[in-house]
Amino acid sequence: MIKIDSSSLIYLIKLDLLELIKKLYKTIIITPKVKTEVVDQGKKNNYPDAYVAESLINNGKISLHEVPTNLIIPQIKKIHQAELELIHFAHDENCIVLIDDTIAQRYASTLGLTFRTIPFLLVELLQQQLITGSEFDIYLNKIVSLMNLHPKDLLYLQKCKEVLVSL
Amino acid sequence: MSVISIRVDKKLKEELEEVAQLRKIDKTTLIKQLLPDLLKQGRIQAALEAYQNGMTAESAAATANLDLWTFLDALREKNILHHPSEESIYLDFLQRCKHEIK
Repeated sequence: MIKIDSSSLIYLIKLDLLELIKKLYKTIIITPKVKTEVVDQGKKNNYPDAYVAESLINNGKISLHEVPTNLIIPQIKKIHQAELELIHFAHDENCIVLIDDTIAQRYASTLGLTFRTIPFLLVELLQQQLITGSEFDIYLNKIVSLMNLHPKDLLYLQKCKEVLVSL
Repeated sequence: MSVISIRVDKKLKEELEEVAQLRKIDKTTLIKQLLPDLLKQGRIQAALEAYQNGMTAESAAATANLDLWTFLDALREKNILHHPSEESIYLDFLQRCKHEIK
């Protein structure tokens, strides 16, 4: 089970990685605030992938879970309230969270929460043999081009791939 | 309707007049037509700067009152580097692999 934030969901749809992530984590969960950012705002601005996101929710491939009303969400500068809500929701249910930004990942880490990032998902997919080494490279190229991947991520991904291939 | 007046240099005034003439409209109408796009560019620039100062994408977009889709497109178009993944995620993984190899 994995809970994902808005930018990660947008990137996963654009990268066509959602089916593979579903195989890896079985259940993909978003909150109503993530749905608003991805589906409602995207449709309002005529982004075709927003309709893809909506149909994935409607046919149950992405689960929409309400956040418990008694959950206390702090306010933290530089992190959006929807992300903080998602992080605390994941923390409350001891669930892995997919978040896209360093500062939010660091915050999740301080809570003792296990987090994932889109680039790192490639490592997990390769480790679980859900993609081959050459598919890893294809997805990596897509990520580099779509997300302007940071060189540090690129170096680590290549290192992780080398290690996995050698195992 | 509110009135604003701005001082511009001679060259910019001449350019405005030239474009207005080409479009067969007056300068005021031209400026009124250009302003919404310029304001959107201003919002995008503000959000990009916030992102480059460490704000999350969601937060940077919201600060400038932009939708997230538009902002992520702008990040790509302007070739802004994505925030790096927190290093510990890779280091922990490599450490686990090292144990496996042993």
